[in-house]
Amino acid sequence: MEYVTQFFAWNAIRTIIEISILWLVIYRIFLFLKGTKAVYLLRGIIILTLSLLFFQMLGFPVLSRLLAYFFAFFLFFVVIIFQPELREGLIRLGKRHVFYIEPRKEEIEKALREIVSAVGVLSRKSIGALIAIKRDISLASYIESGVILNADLTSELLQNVFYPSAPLHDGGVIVEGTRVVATSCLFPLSENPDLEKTLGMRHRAGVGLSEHSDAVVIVVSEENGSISLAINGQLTRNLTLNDLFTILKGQLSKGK
Amino acid sequence: MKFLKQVNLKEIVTHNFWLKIISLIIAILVWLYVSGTITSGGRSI
Repeated sequence: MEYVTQFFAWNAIRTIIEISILWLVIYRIFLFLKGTKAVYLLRGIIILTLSLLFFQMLGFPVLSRLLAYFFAFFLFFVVIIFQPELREGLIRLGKRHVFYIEPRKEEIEKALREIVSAVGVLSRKSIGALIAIKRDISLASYIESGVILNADLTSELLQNVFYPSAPLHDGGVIVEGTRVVATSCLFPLSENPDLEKTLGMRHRAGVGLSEHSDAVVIVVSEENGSISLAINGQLTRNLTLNDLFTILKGQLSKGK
Repeated sequence: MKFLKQVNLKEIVTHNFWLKIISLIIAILVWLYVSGTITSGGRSI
C-alpha cells in the first residue's frame, strides 16, 4: 500500500515538474515573440495548434495528418524568415533571468535625461548624431550591422561616440532600456517622397528606421545643430531640449 | 540574492500576468495532449 502511495506521489511530482518546465519554455517563447515582428505570427500558430488538437480529439485522422505536415512546413518557413530575430532571442536566452523585469519607470527617465543631456551638448557643438531608442519591435538586424557596445547609458558615452574623429561616429546608436546596445549601425533610408529634399542622409536614415520599426529616433543635424525626432515615419524638427524630453517620456513610458 | 533584492514577489507575479496565465494553460494542454498520445501508444499522430 505504501509503495502504491509513493508511486502516485512521485507521478504527481513528475507531472508538476514537467508542466512547470513546459510553462517556462512557452512563457520564454511568448516573451521573445512579444519583442519582435513575429508576434503577428503567434495568432496563426495558436490557431493551427488548436485546430490540430481539435481534430485529434474528434478523431479525424486525415485532417490531423495534413495539419501536422502543414505545421511542420510552416515552422520551417518561420525559422528562415525570422532567422535574425531567432538568433537574437537565443543569445538573449542565456543573458536574462527567466522572469526578466523591464527597467523601472525611474530608470527609464534617468536614461532619457542622459540622452537629452548628450543631445544638448552635441546640438550646441553642431555635432551630427543619430540615436534610436528601441521599443517593442526588435532591432536585431540593425544591431548586427554595427559594433556591439552593451554599455551603461551615460551622456558622456554618447558624446564620445559621436565625436567627429572617433572611429565609431558614423552610423547610428541603438539604445535599449538603460543600455547602449550598439553603435555605427546602418539604418534603412526612407524613400518617402514627401520628405524635404534638403534633408541629409542622417535624417532620412532616422525616418527610415522609424518606418521599419516602432523605434523612436533622435537626429541632431551637423549643419545647424537642430534636433529632430522621428516616430512612425513622421519627422518633427527644431525641437527644444524640454520638448524632446517631454515627447520621449510620453512615448517611452507607455505600457510600463 | 542580488536579483531577489531588486524585485519583489508581487512584481514577479503581476508582471506580464496574462502572458503567464496563457502560457500555463497552453503548457497544461500540450502536456495533456502528449501524455494522451504516449498512453495510447503514439497512434494518434
